[in-house]
Amino acid sequence: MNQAPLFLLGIFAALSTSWFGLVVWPQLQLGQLQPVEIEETGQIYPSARSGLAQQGADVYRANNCAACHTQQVRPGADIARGWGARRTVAQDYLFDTPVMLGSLRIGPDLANIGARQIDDNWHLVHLYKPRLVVENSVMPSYRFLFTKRAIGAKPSLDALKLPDVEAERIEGYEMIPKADALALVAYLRSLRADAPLFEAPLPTKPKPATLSAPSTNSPAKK
Amino acid sequence: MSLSTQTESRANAPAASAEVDASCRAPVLFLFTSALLWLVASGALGLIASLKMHQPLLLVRGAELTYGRILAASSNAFLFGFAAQAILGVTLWMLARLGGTPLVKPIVALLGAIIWNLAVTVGVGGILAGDSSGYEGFEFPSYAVPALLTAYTAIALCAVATYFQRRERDSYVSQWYLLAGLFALPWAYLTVHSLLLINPVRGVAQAAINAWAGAVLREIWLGGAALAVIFYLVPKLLNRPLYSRGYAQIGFWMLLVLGGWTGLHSGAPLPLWMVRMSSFASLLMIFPLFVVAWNLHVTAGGQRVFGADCRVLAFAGSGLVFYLLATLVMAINPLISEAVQFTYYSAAVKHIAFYGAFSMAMFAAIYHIVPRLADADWPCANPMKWHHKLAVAGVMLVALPLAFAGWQQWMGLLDPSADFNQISRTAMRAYRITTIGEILWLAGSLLLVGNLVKLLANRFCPCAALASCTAESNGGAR
Repeated sequence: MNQAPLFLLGIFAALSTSWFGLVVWPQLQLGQLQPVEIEETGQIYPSARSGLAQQGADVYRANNCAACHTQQVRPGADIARGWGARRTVAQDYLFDTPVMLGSLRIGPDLANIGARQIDDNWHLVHLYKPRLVVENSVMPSYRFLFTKRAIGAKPSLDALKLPDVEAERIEGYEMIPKADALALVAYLRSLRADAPLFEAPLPTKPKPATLSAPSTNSPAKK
Repeated sequence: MSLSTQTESRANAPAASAEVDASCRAPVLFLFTSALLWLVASGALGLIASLKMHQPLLLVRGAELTYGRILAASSNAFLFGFAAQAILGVTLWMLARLGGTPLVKPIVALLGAIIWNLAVTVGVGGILAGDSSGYEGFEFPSYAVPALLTAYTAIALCAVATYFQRRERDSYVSQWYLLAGLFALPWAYLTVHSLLLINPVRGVAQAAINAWAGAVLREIWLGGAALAVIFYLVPKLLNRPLYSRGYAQIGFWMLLVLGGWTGLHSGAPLPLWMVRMSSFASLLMIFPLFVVAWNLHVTAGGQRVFGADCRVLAFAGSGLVFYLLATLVMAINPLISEAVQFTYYSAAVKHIAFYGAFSMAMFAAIYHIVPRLADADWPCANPMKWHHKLAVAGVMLVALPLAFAGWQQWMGLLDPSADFNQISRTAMRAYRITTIGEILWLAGSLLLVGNLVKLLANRFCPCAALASCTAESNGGAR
């Protein structure tokens, strides 16, 4: 009676086509990728993250930040928006595990957040209560990354520098970032995919300084 | 009771339906009940996540209830708590019924189902505790996976052994889809486990693997199971033979070959040929879609049924419509991918596929199979009717606002100088309507759970024996 083994073999063969295509072959093509030396600067790219930033990547993963934030710059509109100087390519993710590309942009892309926002305190206040620095932000508060502490004789040096309105609200107390908060900010600061690569060179013309430059870019793309 | 594809030439006479049902009773009822409880848990978690979109300062003291974690916990509870167990229950019962043979080793399947639930609990707990793997759709921490795969193997072996011992020589299209799914899930998960969790490959090859496994899960495992149920119920309830076995074969093999390719999108930081292949495969999905739709259309042939079967068919029919819609939209996605990717539009399509197509088909299967297993009618007919209405409304009230919000994002993002935060907030207005949809969906699921608990209590709890008589006669009267 049995055609069953043959049928199961057929299922196996049919499934293995896409398995070879998207699992095995990328490994053959991309598995040997190595850091490269950037011609202009002589630096090795990408370099491994610092220990603190690596811990921050874990905080990013644990809290599934990728649910709302992508880390990939597509050619065209994303660059015009100022989310990156060039498109992101395989080289940029060489040391990421897991690679958290994300699939939905409820918040902005973060592939170059380390180049766009370099103020640690801004990041910390933003994590603490996003609406303090971004008006009507839809991002939830990450209050659990901070400890509330009564101010002693002198304010602590590592306390958040909060905007006045919030400082008054918690009068007599200060917010101290926990280790996870500092690590997460170190990770965010480490996110920049703007080294000029052979496969993804930077645009040759000078970076647009005003808003008019990107908008001249966009009609050509769409 | 026999399907038209079954032949007269038999080595042994097929077992009686009652005997088959009795052999499936314990494991399949257990799988269905726990599947539905996970569905409710997933819905409740999803609702909390949804509420946080209204109020960013809600539940912010604990890391466990942060938005990203609840969302991942909810979707994994849906996939591996609800979907996997519903599919396994359907697989065990259908392979036994269509094969005309009692289920092999039901006790092993039952044990497997119990371990599976423990493993899913550990996995969901792990995600909430911050141990998520970080790979979309496979967020369970690596320590939950071995138990998960062991439990799955136990249940799957029972299913395959049952298939090999079948007494009906010819196989039916539902069996093909279910067997393919039975292999596809562990293959995908084993690939994720070994190449992403245990010994991660370098760089973006991870993203390709994640996309492949996700596509296999979505297209072949969930989509295939939905089709298996629809292909089983439509001819059966309408009492008409399947129009074409050849068409069914074309649809099946094309889905199997193409399904895994469809996960990538344009602009991904991957070699261009991969993205092109993926887009091409997505477009080709039009063909199996058309073949399936035509086959079922001719099979149904404008027939109507009434009574309880009618309501089961309503679920199966809604499932089919949503399946066709989701697959069609996904197939043409590469054409508009650049504009809609990363917007709520893609979330809308995913919602239609998971909740519209797949879940509706599973509800149809559960409503059809449980009375046969328990040998008792559903105690109340009204909740079933209401469940259908609530479920359809729930899916629409999530998918339509999401699609609209996606359209707003698309339009907003056309202007590169427009403030992203402003665009996000505009889209958020429509997005917030989805909370209503989630509540309706959850209410519908609770109706099914209530009905099931009542049925099981009436049937199996001796103290309720008297009540069961009246309840059954009531059910019969309807």
